[in-house]
Amino acid sequence: MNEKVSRWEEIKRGMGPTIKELKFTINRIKQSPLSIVGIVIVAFFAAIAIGAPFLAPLPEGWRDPFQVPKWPPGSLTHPPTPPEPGAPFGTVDGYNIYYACIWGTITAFRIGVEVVAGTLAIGLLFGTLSAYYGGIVDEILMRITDIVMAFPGLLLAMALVAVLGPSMDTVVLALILVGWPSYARVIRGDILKIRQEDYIEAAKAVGCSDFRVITRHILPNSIYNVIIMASLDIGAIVLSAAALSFLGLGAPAGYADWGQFISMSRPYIYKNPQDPLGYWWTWTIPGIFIFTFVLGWNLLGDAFRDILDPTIRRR
Amino acid sequence: MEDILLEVINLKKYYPITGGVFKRKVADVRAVDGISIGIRKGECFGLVGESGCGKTTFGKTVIRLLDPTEGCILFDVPRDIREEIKKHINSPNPDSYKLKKLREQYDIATFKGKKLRSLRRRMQIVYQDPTTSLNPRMLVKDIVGEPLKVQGLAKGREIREKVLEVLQKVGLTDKHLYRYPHEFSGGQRQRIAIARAIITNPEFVVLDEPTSSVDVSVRAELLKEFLRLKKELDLTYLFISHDLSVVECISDRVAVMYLGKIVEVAETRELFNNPLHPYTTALFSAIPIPDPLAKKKKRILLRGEVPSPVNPPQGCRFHPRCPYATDICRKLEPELVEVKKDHLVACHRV
Amino acid sequence: MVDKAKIVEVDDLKVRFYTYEGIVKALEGVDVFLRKGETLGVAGETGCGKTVTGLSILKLVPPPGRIEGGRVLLNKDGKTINLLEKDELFLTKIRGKDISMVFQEPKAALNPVYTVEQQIGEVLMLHRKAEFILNILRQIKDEYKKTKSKFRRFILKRQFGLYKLMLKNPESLYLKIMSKIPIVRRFKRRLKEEIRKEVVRLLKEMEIPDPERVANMYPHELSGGMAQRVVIAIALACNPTVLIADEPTTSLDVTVQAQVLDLIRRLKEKFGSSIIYVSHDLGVIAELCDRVAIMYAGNVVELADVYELFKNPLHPYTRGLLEAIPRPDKPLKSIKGTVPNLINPPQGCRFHPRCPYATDICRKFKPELVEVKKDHLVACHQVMGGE
Repeated sequence: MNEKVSRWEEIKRGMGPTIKELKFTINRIKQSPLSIVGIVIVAFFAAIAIGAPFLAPLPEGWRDPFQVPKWPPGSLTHPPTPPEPGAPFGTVDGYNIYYACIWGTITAFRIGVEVVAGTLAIGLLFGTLSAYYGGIVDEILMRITDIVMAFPGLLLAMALVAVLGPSMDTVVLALILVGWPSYARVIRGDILKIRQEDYIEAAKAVGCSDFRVITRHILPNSIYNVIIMASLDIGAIVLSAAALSFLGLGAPAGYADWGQFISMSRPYIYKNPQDPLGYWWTWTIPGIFIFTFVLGWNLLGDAFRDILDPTIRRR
Repeated sequence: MEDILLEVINLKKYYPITGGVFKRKVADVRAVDGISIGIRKGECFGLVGESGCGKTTFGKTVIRLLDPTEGCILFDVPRDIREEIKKHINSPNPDSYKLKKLREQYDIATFKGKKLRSLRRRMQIVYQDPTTSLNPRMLVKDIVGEPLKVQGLAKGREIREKVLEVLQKVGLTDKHLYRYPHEFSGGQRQRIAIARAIITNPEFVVLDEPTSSVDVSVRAELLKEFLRLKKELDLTYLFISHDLSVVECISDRVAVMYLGKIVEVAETRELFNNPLHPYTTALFSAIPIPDPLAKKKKRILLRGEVPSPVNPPQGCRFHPRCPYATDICRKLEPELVEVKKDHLVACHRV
Repeated sequence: MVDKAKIVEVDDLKVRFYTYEGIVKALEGVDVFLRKGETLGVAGETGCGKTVTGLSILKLVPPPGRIEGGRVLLNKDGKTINLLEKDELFLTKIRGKDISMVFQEPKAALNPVYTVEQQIGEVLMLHRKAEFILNILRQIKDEYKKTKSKFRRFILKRQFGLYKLMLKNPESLYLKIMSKIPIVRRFKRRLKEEIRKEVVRLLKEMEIPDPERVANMYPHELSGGMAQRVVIAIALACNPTVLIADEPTTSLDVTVQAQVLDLIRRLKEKFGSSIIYVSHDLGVIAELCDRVAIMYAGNVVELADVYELFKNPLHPYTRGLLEAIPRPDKPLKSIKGTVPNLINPPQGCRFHPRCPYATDICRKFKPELVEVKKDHLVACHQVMGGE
């Protein structure tokens, strides 16, 4: 019985410092109103993403939520119709824009998370090994990084599409392959700074293996800039994906992706001389979604920087 | 005569300077340039010198945090084997197979990988600045417990118990376990660093200017701790410092280093009462004494600045600044010889 | 002989730092004064406020610090002015000219992209420009008398005019334009020459070997000792009446420190400067200073002549400090406890938690700095009772 009690005490005590740190972080956030705006926006979109099945329930027998249903149901392509009950955001090419925007939120998150995860993984690997081992390893890895960085992203995307066919996965892959070099560079710079600190040497003096030194000592202290970069990047990634979709290199027609739908709205940006903005809902609404999403992540990234930057933090 | 715990033979540590497009070696920074000395078991061996003389490099090389360029480091090797190794080194055939085998077994300068890591248990270091030598994102209990985990000496509960034990030894309590380093004062952080160093029960600890970043009023406290721990845990210290008054109080023997070489070694009282090398005398006279009445003493002012260890002067390294330099000083480098009992000097004048 | 007149007086100085964690009451009523021609040592450990005191005299306390109260009186040309009341414009005239400061890290105090000559020249241009121009005007007049060539006389007349303009109306548009035209702007060369001569002279004064060469060097090419000498040269370039030195030799090697201290001592003898020397090293203070102020946690706790202080330390903290200096023959003694957190300093006397003689009155009331012997001031309840 005593054992159990003290184990619980242990855990509580272990959480103590973490809670203190959390409180400090929250206080810092409170000091910057724009960061709160950023957090609210991202939370809002997250809520939409989670609540998609309820906000935009699929019609009977519809299997793939990412294939946007048409409105009126079962119809074929027709000129864009303005917002009305059942299609609160109107239609374009017959597709229900409301569905597209709601389910497109999930797509946006998915792209953002997948691409950031991929670029972080490759970038951290290259950058860390480069900075830690130096010498010829550094030279080789960095030259590979330089070469990839010089590669024009668009061409790579087009090449991949030609090989693998247009789909969201291809877009994600292309963005990962093109995006990792900047992370590698940033983490390499940060690690080079930290590498010569006394506590790293002390860790080696104690007998830590290289792996432990990197994971337990170096990375937790050097990861800040990369995290800030990543959150700022999510917005940019979504925009790039939208651009690729706009060019037709992304998902197939009717896929629930904001970029797709802006692409579809291309012919309707200008209606006719008497009513130039007649089809406004086709490009405004998906556009607002993209804009707000990217803005939210940018503000969040700035918030992270203010909170996490060790030089600004009181430590 | 006490047994020698750590002996270095002709230890050298050079840092190459590369230049040119192909990054070829242009010159060497000769941080440690041929030191042969023995540290006795249970003593506090002081090492003094100014910045750039190589004393920190020496300390780190001796416990293999840095890889020596040349030379042997014999740690806890019985006397007869040490004598044998020295005989082989001084013999006309220094590359013999026998020597190689002996060195592989005993000379820690040749150790690598796992063998080296297991050696770490027995030799530890306390750094000068406790702010940078503790990982700012790790809790005290993890910092102090890490050596045990990494060396596989204890698990789970045991680690926590040992950490508590060692923290109490340095005057901290279990309240301090779950805190970050920045929440402590300089003196306390240094104690945490000491706790980390002694938790694996090492035999040899290098103290690299451990009291320099700490306030004067706390310094004495720390020095007393060091002495107490030495007695309690049977430690041997290499105490590196540029502060002569601190070294005087805590060391049994003191060595003076200049530009990568040791110029004088003696028992503490002997050295401070009878300094023989001109650099040592100049060093002693340069220390400001906290007594205004002592102002009257004439001070020996050295000419010029400390030269760079890249191109040490020919002959005796000290000759450009030495007020007594003669011709032989300019040509021939003096050896470290025993001129009195247990008092070695490297100077032609003596 | 030390002139009894006070040249700088700090009266009840209060400085606070508004940080995230709380308000750090760094200086809580500091009283100290410097007499003309003497060297005042300000000693204490980290966090006692000695550096902040030095900075406050020149109103250089960086944010989030704020000078909240008190006066800093400077005796200039027979008049007493309170520096804390003056605006930045007035202070820029004082800094470098009447009061100069030397900082702890010489390499950090020098701008890495300018040569030594440019940096010393900057301070000379700011405060002593008129002097140089007057010299130049005189030179031009002499040359004019000597030369017969009409052309040369024409040039000299033009140069004379421009320099006179520089003296009277440095912002004039005409002057600015002339300074840009390629051949005409050569007239500025005379000024550069004057400055260079003065720079070399100053460097020689600082006992820097080969001053011509050093003048063209960049800070990173200088060693620590030389860099500190250059900083001292900048500080003394305009013959200030007061020099504030904030731990100038702490970052230097012992042998180099000896050289620099020797230099300071010789300059003191030669120019009779009044120096405020801030340091934590009591050895240096004992050697260099005439009077010493001991500071603890934002207050001056003892102020006395240097011989008197070392012979008869009255405040328990001073006693503790002197005893804590490691001596080979005596056992190591330290002061128990640590320097207090200045966000929540102790009530009453700030030293009472660590003081072996603390009584009830010490815990409640903060002691004032009073003169208990001739010229020996202490802030301690135990001493006032008659020690």
